[in-house]
Amino acid sequence: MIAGSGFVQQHWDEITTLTLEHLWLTGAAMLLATAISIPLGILLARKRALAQPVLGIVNTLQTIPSLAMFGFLLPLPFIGERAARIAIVALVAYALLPIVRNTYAGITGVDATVMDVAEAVGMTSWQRLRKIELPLAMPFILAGLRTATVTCVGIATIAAAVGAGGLGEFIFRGVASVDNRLVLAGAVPAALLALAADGLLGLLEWKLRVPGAGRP
Amino acid sequence: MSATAAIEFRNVSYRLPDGRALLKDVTLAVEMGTTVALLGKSGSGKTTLLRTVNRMHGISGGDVLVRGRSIFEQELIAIRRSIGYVIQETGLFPHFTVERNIGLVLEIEGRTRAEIHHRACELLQMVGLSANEFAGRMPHELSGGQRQRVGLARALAAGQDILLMDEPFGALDPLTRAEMQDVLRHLTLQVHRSGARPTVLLVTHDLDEALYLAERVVLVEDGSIAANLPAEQFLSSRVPAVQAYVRAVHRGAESRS
Repeated sequence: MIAGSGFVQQHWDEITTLTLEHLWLTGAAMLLATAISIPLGILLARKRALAQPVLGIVNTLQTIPSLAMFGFLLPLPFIGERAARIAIVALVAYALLPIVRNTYAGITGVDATVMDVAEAVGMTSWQRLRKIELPLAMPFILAGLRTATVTCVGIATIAAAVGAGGLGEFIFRGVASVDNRLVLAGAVPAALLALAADGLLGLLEWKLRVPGAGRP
Repeated sequence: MSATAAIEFRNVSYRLPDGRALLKDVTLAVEMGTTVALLGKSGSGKTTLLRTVNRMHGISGGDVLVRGRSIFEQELIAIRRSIGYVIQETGLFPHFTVERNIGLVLEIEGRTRAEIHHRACELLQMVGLSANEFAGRMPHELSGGQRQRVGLARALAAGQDILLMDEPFGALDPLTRAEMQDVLRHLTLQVHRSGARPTVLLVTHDLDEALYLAERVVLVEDGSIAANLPAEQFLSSRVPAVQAYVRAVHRGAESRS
């Protein structure tokens, strides 16, 4: 333990830097993914014929092994020029599915009677989206964001393989030098980040739930 | 027909793509300020007919006029906002308070919060609910009857003079149902005194409800109008379809006499 605390003290600056780097990669990816996925989910809910093919494609992205994904992106122009770009694009690809799927399911799952009335009383399509569909779908959308964030925090550790930094640095170095302390210096903060993100979003999800909304 | 009818169906028909007709050449006028009941069994087309009025259901032939003008020449959103809509499941928005539910049409028309609050309180009193107690409640905190009262208040909030009601009290127990029928009767009479009584088109399968609330009872069968009678003449009508309907629903009374 004493040796451990000495190790942490010795590496404190590096832990902080890499944690911030990890946060930046995950945060940027999540912002981008959210900006793409929520409108996409809404679009699919409006044009349901598109839902199966688009969700199929997004689903396929999810099945690509993460190390391979980083490899695929490496030779691409612009994206491949910087390691951080590769990492962020890859993370976005993984974050799409849970958010798109949950946005789509949340909106299409709004009680049909409620939507019938919303239309019959003369709400415009935009008003129905903003005042009825999105608020009622919000707990679902947040659940999707939560899954995506936790996934991203985990996968971001692999970004170190292409030199994008983040807590994966410690893990790769630890594995290479057979030093478990280094592995833990990366794994423990990454796990704490995932838990914190999960907890915060879970709290938000709970706050925004609608009692008696009659959801399955 | 003397004055302009509030709602007029002119040879309205609706065919499914497979050729089956849900509405067949329906012609019917609902005079301003009157209550007309569309009576009929499930699948007779009465709900479909009701929903053509606010264009929630299309038609494939004929025309529907509201306040003397074809609904297809009027702006869709405006016409929907001018017609109150009450259905069996109420369709209250689960994430809005009672007050916001009632004031929804006012809200989407951009009225002020104070105006909405004032109107919601007024309407809550009209449907027999204490504004202090109920304005801030959520729909899931209401009983079935209270929910229907709020639904009724919402349908009238923006000064709608036409109400479409689809089995509005169908899901309530008999006592609450009778209570709600009184609320509706009282409401139409109360507004009457101030000069303008709302026009109500009521879909129901309940003969007693139709007779109690409506001036005219229209029997809908298989997408057509089988009879269109003043309520007081309905029970003594010689039209076979009417006699059959009356006999079927009044079986209990008959077997005991």
